[in-house]
Amino acid sequence: MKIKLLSQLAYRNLWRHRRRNGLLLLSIAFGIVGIVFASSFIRAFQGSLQVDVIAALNGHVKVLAPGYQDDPSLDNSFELDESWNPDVPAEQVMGWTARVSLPAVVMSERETRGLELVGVDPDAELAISFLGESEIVGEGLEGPDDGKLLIGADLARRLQTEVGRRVVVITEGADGQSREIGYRIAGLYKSGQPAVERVIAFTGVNNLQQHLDTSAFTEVSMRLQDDQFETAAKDAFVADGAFEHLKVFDWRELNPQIAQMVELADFAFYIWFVILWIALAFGLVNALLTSVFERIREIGMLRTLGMRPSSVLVQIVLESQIIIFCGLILGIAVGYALVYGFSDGIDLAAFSEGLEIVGLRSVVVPKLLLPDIVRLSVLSLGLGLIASLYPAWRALKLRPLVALQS
Amino acid sequence: MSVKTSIIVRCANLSRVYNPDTLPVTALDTVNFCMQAGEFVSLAGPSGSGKSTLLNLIGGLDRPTSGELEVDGQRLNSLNERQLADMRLHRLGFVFQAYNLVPVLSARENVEFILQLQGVAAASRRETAMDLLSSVGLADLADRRPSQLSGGQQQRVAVARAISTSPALLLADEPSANLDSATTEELLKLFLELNEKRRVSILTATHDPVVQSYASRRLQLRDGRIVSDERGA
Repeated sequence: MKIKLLSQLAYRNLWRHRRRNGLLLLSIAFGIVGIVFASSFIRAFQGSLQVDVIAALNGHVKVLAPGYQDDPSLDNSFELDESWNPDVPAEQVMGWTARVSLPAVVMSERETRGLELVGVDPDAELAISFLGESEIVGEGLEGPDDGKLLIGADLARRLQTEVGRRVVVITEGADGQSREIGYRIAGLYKSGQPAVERVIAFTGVNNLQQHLDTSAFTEVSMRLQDDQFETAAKDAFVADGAFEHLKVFDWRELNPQIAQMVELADFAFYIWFVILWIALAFGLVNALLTSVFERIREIGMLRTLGMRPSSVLVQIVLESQIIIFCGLILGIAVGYALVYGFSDGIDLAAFSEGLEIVGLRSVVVPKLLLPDIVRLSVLSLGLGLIASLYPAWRALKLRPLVALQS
Repeated sequence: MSVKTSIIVRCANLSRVYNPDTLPVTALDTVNFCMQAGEFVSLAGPSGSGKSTLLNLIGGLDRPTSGELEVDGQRLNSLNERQLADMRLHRLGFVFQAYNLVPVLSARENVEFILQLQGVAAASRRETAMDLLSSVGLADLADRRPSQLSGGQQQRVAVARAISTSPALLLADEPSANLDSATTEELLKLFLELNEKRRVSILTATHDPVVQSYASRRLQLRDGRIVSDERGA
């Protein structure tokens, strides 16, 4: 009952100074819009980083032979039974594949470049790697026996070659001797990530194994439907007898720098939040203090009539919470509209070189997450409450008689 | 501990000295005074005589430097701020010189205000508020805010608010100071009616001889002491 009365008083008191409180509400809403948009931008970068690194042949979980990371050769490969299937619920799995991935050198008529030659089953690869989302110029690979080469558009540009031309790839066979393999370029893929396009070339896995005189694979990679299944899938791989002497990694272990950048993005949200709220808190405290000082006599009268000091405190806190709540609603609505307006993405082509260094795409699609909105709302109301405690305490400390005589 | 008694106010050797350690100013000097329940008492005297100080002490808004003070059987000296607030809420009614209505509440809501603080149910307090506004002749203006009422109307709302909880004692500090003579007469007739019909005990500090003439007992203060105590209308 009393909280209803205090809420009514707080709400009506806010209307007494419409212009001042309206400006305060707008400044809070403006700050919230900034936080919403900044967090959607941060989440877009974060999501892009994580998805791209998982799609860049890592998957959520990957099996490698011990020593492969130091010496990526067929000496560190393993056999995998054709009948093997992962012991992970099918509904959690987006797809999985076994590959042969080796460092190689590619030569065109004009240029020589280093690359990573990856033997794949094209159908499986389309489902789990960036290849599925890439634009293909020319033709893709037709199956695991395909003996043609699919290279990145950026690599083709650097090799000054094109679809239908031949290149020679040199890599190491199972016997440790070099193999020179002549390939016709079936197609060029455009992934939107020049750093990837530059170094990865695909061919059919069976065909590559024949060239290298091996039936072994260098990696098994699985992509999951959701990050939440990652730990269980990794545990299932570790427990799998087929991988008894092998090492199982998640994408974070394979790309610790990217994993740290993803975590940093979480931290960046709080940095933005704190900076903006420090600025907002000064405005809030100032407005509330002014409001308290303007009402000293009135507060004295309320205390004289029997209102407890704690009720005065609650009333001032409620005033701040009401104005912050309204600012939140307005700010989130405008922020959401802004994010929706940029749902086709923001083209940052002007900064593409810088973005490429950290593995980001030049088009960023802002992404608003419900947990971020909830966190933003709870923290804003919490910080607003803390900021309002000082003005409320000043009101609380007023002695009724002194306040009445002011 | 509350003790029911017919004495509504008891002051024994009550003193109030401001700035006792620096520049002592004695506002009240060993005042002894008892007020019976149902009395209508005026406190008169020149400015600085101590009448507002005495009223503030009895209202629990200030604390005595020395002496004993009981209101409605409650010894005020031993109460903390919260207990004093509860005492004001449940036992006292206040009418101020400047009306002091809550500007963001309507006349009816102002009358309901103390009842609402006491936790009285909505239907009951609305009925009480409308009855009281009717009795002070303001039922038609119940939905108006204080800024839409005249000074006299605001003071009548303040009186209705003060008696809404049937307080043991109504304290009025210069209630007629901002009113014209006709409105003062109306207010005093209302006080008299409350005193005679509802048996509300009234203690008012005033300069106004007209207010004093309505009181059944008139105390005169000078230099913080009671110099005369007259009874009779």
